[in-house]
Amino acid sequence: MSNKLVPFSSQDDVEIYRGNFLVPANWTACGAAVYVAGGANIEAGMPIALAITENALSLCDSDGPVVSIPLVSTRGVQVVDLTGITIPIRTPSGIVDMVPPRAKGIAIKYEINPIGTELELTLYTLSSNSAFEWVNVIQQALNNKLSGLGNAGKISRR
Amino acid sequence: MDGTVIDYVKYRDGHANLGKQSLRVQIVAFPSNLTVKGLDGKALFSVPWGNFENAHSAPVSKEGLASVGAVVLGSIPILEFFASSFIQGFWLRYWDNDIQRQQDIFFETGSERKADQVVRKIFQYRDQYHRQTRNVSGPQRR
Repeated sequence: MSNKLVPFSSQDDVEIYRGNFLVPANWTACGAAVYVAGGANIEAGMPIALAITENALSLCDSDGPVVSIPLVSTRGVQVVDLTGITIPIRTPSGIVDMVPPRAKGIAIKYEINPIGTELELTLYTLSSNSAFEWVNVIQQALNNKLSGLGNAGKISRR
Repeated sequence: MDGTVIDYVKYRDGHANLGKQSLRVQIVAFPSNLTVKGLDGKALFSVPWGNFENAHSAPVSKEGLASVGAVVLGSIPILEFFASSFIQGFWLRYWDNDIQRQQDIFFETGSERKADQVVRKIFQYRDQYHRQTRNVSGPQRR
């Protein structure tokens, strides 16, 4: 498994998505989102990169991954309605909260320890389409991982 | 951060902090917000496009804005005929998250034509923002 990090910038020139992020070099899917809540010591409203690799899902800022969740610990992902959230944006008159009229995002449920403590990570994806796309990508990665585990080899019996 | 000056107008009324006053301002469009700046370039307030609700041109009565000049002219019958009782301008409505309510702000433009032009430009920038955000791509794949 490679620990190498590479820079990533969103293709979208939307202010709240702007940023240079350091993400794992072996990403299979990567994109910008806005952190909303849960499971990470990140300020709400901060742009982050969500990078999916073969084994993990990472939230990355300009210094690299802040949170990495092994795919096998992921318990579910779904599109969530975030209408009413406020997103801080930088303007000439200072930081102003934006309240998007309709906001969709994704919620990722995962376990952090063997006892089964479940956390939920919520990200704002700006457009509804992106939220559905992200859910597809993450589910695909989970399926690949789980089917990979299933093909690990036959159980030897005596 | 580069902005485009849409036009120079006069702020007249409606903002919770600015109250009623006659203040020359510039309306500046940024990719993510509309900012009202004084002529010195200092930002007075910003409206994120996500909070923008409406803009429309409409005159307001001088009485409504308690213009001293209007009261004087109105007291002289002959001059009243010549003096317009209305101020031409446009309204800007947005949701202010700080005070958790809508703000309805009136700007004087001097003519209906200019008010229409400013409103049209504001909507152009607003639409540009929505086009951009609607097309935000999701995850890039390999």
